[in-house]
Amino acid sequence: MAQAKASGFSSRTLLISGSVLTVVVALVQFLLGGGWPGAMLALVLGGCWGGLTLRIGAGSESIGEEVLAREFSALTEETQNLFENLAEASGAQIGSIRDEGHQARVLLDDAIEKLVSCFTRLEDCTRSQQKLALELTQSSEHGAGSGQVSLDAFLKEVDGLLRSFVQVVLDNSEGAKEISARMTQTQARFQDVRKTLEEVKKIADQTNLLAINAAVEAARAGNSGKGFAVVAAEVRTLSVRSNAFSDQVMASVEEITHALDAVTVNINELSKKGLSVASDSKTKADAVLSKTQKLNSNIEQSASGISHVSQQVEQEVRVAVTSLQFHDMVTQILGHLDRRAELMQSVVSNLGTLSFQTQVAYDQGGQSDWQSRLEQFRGGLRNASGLVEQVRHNPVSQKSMETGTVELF
Amino acid sequence: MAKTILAVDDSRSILQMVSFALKGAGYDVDVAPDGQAALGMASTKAYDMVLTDLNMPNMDGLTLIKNLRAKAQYRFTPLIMLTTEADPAFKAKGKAVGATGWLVKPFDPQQLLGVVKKVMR
Repeated sequence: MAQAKASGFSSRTLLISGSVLTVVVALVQFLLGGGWPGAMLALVLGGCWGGLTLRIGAGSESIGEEVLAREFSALTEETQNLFENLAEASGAQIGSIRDEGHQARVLLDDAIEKLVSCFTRLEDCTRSQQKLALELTQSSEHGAGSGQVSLDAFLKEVDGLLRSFVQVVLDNSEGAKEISARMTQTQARFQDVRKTLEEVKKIADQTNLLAINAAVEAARAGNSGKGFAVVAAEVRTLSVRSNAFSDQVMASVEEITHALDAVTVNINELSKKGLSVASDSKTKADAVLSKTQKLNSNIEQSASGISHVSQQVEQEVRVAVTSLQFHDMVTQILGHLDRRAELMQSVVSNLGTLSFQTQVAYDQGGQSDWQSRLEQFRGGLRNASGLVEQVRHNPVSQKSMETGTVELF
Repeated sequence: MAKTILAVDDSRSILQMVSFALKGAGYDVDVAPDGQAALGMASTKAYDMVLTDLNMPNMDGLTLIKNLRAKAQYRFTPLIMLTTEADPAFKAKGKAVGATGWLVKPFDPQQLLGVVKKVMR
């Protein structure tokens, strides 16, 4: 009895163990990529094993059926729970994987749009900056547009004007020197005039003396000398007037000489000041021109530098645009992962729906019960096979962010 | 007058980047989110070129090219695939339905412009 009991229990235990093992092996085969042939083979082998153990058990006499039934019922229930828990836990985990995958896609979608907008605006700003830099360089070289004078041309014009001004001042200085020389000559002539006037004065003085002597001699002559005395008086008057006239001329000559001296001094001072101002102006203008030219050169260099940097930014934005396409690729890979997770969810869900509760003895139709359950599982796997075909091929070929190939047909 | 290109992709970011690259070079760009919408747009407006993704909802890129090639208006228009798919089998299908070329993502903007200039000469 005890042997038969042990035998009956053992056979049923083997049957359950075989079935569990069958499903687990089939599932592992399927998930590890063994494909349907491996999974089906495991199911068939497991089914045969179950059938075989049932056959062995069927030949023995059952003893203590109630105890056995309770233990068997507890075991099947436990197995059922195990599978349900497995399905539930795995389903929840896979569900979480899918939810988190979806969350990642939403985050990526949100970020990428802003990133792309940011980079496109950056590119636009850089292009504007480059355009401005080029305009700045061109305007300093050729003028920004028709009718506008370039800074370089303006500086040359200012330089030309200053040179003309300095030349005029130098010419004036030369003129002043010439005037000064002529003044000196004129003053020498005035000295001659003075000497001549002094001679005239001496002549007048002698004439005056002669007139006095003539008057004395006329007085001595008496009445016969009266007429001569009148003439002598007139001559004396003329000599006095001549002296007075000479003094006036002398005074005028002195005044003119002083005036000419003052004019000469003024002209020389003006000439010196003009030369000094012209020299200072030239020095300052040269310094300003030099600084302005340097500034202009610096502006050109800076503009050229800005333009160069803009080109570099443009180049970097190109690389960024290529790299930002990771979004499309990662989104597709995440979608592919989601479909794979969906497949796993489907398979695991089928495990949970397998029934272990309607155990029927093999000799009472148990074989068809097991076949029915196996068929149910096969059906679940067949449904999943459709999904497997869909997810077999990864739509993203690239393994890195290197630029993809180009092929023209 | 600027040439007009229709860009078709279910990824908004790719459409943004394609538009950015092509508009920067002086092209006018219209965008469509899938093949079906693109086919409708191509029926009402003549495009000088169509640049399409492969995997899209409603209508994929291969079907779009096949439908466009069936129209007299697009018999000789450059129709380029721009996709993450590089499988030779898919490329062969593309060639069979009349695609002008096959570009694998990610694309370099300069490289894309080079292809566009070449096929629209």
